[in-house]
Amino acid sequence: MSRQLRALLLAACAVSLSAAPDALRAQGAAPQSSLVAPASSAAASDREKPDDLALRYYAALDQRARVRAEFSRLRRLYPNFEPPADLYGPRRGDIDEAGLWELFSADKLDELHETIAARRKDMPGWRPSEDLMQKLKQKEQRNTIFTFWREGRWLDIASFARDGRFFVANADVEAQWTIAEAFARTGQINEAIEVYKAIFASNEDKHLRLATMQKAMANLHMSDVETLLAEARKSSKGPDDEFVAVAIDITRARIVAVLRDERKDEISAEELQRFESFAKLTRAPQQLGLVAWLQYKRRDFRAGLETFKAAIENGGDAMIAHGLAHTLRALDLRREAEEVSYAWRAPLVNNGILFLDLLERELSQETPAYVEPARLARYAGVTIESASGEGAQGLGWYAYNSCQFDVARFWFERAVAWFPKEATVYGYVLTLKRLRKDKEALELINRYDGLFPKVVELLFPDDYYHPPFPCDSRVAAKAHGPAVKMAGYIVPGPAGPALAAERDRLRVEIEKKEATTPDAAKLAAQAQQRERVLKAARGKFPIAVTAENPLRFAPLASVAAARSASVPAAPVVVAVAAPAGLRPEPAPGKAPLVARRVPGVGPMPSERYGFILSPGWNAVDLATWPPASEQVAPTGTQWANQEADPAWIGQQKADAATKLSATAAEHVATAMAPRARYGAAPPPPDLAAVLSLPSSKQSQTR
Amino acid sequence: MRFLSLAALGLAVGLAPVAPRAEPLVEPLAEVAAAVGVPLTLDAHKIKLGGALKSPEAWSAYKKRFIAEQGRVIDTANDQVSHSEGQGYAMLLAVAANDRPTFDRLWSWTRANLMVRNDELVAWRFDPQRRPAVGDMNNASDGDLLIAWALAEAADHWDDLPYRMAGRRIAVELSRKVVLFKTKIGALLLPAVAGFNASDRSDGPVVNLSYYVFPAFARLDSVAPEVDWAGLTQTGLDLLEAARPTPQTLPADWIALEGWRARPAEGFAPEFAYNAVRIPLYLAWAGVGERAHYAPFLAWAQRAKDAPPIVDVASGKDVGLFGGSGIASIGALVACVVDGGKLPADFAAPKADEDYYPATLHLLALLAAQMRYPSCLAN
Repeated sequence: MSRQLRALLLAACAVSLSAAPDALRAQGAAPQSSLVAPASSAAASDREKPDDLALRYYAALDQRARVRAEFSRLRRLYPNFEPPADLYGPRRGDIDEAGLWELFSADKLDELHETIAARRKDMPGWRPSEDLMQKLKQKEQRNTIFTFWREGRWLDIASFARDGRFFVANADVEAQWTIAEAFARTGQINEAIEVYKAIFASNEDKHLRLATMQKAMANLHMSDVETLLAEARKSSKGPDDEFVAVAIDITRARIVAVLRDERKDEISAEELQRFESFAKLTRAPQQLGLVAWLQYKRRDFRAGLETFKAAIENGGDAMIAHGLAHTLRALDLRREAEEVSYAWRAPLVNNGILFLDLLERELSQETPAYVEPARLARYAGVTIESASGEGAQGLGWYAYNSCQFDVARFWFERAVAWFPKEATVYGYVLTLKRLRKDKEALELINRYDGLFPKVVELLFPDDYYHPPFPCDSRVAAKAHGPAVKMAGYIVPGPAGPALAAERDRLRVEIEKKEATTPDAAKLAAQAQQRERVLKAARGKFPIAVTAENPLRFAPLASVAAARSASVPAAPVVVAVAAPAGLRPEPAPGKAPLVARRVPGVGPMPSERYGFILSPGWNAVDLATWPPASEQVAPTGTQWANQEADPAWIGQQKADAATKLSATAAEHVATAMAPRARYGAAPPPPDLAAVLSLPSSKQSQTR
Repeated sequence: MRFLSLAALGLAVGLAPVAPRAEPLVEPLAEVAAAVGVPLTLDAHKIKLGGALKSPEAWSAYKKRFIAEQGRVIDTANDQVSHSEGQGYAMLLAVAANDRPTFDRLWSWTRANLMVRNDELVAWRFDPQRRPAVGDMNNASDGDLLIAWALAEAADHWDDLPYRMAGRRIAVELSRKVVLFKTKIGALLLPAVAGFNASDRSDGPVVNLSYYVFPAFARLDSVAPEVDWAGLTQTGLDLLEAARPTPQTLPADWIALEGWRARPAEGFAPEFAYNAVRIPLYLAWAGVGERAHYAPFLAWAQRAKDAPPIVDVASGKDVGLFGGSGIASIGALVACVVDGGKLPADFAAPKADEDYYPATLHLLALLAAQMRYPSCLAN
């Protein structure tokens, strides 16, 4: 017997003596291997059993004479000895492979390969059993999969699995889960579903099937999980729904699908009820939050309010608070919405934005309502701290409409630096005119000539009715409470009740005057209008001005501790150093006096007085109507869908009908009516010639 | 039609709570590239932009040449005008260079001069020699994306609330006004609010694939997590494959999708030119795309390394050369990322006489290499 053979025999003995399940524990791969070696390798050896190793060895080498000699020897020792039936048949895992299986079980695969190679060298013609090679291959494939898994190489896992169908079909469940996840993550949804289906088809273990369903829910869209659920139930053995243990998870996934607009089918009331009870029982804020968002989506705001509140009370986060604030807004509990969004503004920027937008509308009203000084103060604080152009123009309008022009100027300056849209620049110029800063006003009117018709209209008025401005009269002095100076900003005083009454009084007065003025006088006044306007504009328009808007204001950072206080403490200026190493602006040429046509902008009021515009950058020489600001966003965008969705408008109508929301009713009216701004009427007929369809940005020339 | 892509993978990985991989996966690329058909494995994990630019001299040189003291980025080859896109690029570079004073200048100028629309989007064109300086009320979606992305990165890097708020407002408005989320081919990014949809043009909707700023999609969820940015990435990659008749055809700058069949848009030159040349830069910068997505760009990059051509996509013929050697930096980056070559030794030192556009693209390619492909730069 060769030295090699003896060594093998010793190894076999070692295994037979120490064979224990522990030796089979896999090492390394994070998900533990569940591959096991065949029973034969670990079988307890029968001490009385004849040792047929040599017999098999000679058989393997097909040395028949030696086989016969060895057989005779064994017969002498064991009179009942019969040669094994598979002596010349295919190799099986056998006692001579025990050492190999040990290496296999210990995951020493490199060593196993070396040992096999060495033995093949020593024993020409010998080869390991099919069983061992097959299992070795599987284990190596599995290791590859989990190496990819550890590195997050999903695409590699997917292509590996696709190229090795055999492996997928025979893999253990853990590997199959990983492969399915890889398919799902790389968009190969059908392949992922097939893997899950295969698991259900070939496994009856209850826990394993449950876990598989949970994995599928984590990786697939719920619509695909529904298919799988139906399929899995077919192979279900038990009398009851085996997935009842994950029913809550299934409902949760269905709710998420509805919230993401991925599911059309309703979730049954009974199922929802079960989930709600579960959420209430566990008092988990995220579960309650899901229920609440679903209620919000279904416009069941009353129920949503209660659920959001419960979620907050149980530790809900800033996003839950955001949902609560939106629900309050939808119920027209705007004051409460304001409080919630303010309190939660620091952890989530969405809340800060909502806070600014909620009060902005109220502040911008033509006849401003009384707002408590503390609320104005904190609004001003958040505005200046976040450099919000939206907030600044809200404060600007509030101050302007309550006759506080210095305060209005403070806020409009910032608004124009941060977000110089047409209405904001208009408010700023109005304010400057009130403060007799005519030079600055003219600079702005000329800077925005060609871009903001409303601003240019201040020199070239239209013939339309404009409501009277109460600050023109004696009421101005008592139109507001005292403004409050803070470090770095100023808070407008609250608007007083005198404004609304005064506006009504003036309106009646004007109407009376209108009625008593003879038509002939009106016509004469109109005839003189043109001359008067042109004369007034002389030397003021057009004049050369710098093209750039020079206004800059840094935000003020509030002291961190002030964030929770109802009134912010004195803020400090954020000191940002001046940048170094920038180039000078190229020397400007002569500033042009003729405005060019800007695509997206309507006709300029100056055109009615004979001023002409040069063609736009894309050679367009017609004004755009309706202007960009009045156009609905492209069909198919969320913005357009929300504008056009009759269900949305219809629902608002219903809200209005049930007196749920006065502002919602206003919304309906706005949504139904032609879109118009600043009380402007459609363009007069004589301007039809200069109108065109909206133009587009054609190309960026380089 | 479903295209398998690494994008879904990259974004999914980004969302999963797995630690970023410790080592960049660039090393094996040369080896991988040798084996045809082996999947391209790029590193798509999220990387913050703040402080990522490691070339202070290149940034100083850039500022001195293109950013005016008020914060306006000057297109030196184009009558000294400015674009929202240029403001966005410079803002990104300023965050990457950790240069807050300059970032602040750029953003302050941008909002004071370009945010003249009635919404949160940015007017795309500004010429201080004209009256008024804003030349068009329309936006450019890539400019909006770049600015929102830069604000989001600045908010993260300097922990700044006003930047975060402004970035969110722009990102959300963009998603509401220029993205068609539920088309037959997925989420479609229109190039602007006005002028490109099916109702605006007979061959509409029209898209510009270089407006799909893939690295922005990967990061904007930090300010607007409710938006399906991953969907935009997927559609961008899908369109890249769908928009070409053969796998080696380069995409045109402007692509018409009328009837959901892609062809070069009417009224634009059917060329792979100054717009589309940015597509491979954005792919590589985000670490998305498969070998097939890069194939035409790689062939283009390898064909004329020093003087990359503008290509007529219909005939496949070169119709001119890109102005400025900065464009070649994109080709060099693609060659390294896909094929494993090294970037030229002088890659980190952009030329001093470049105009705004090629100089900007070069600096962005350098930044992308420093962020995601450091081995490309190893000499």
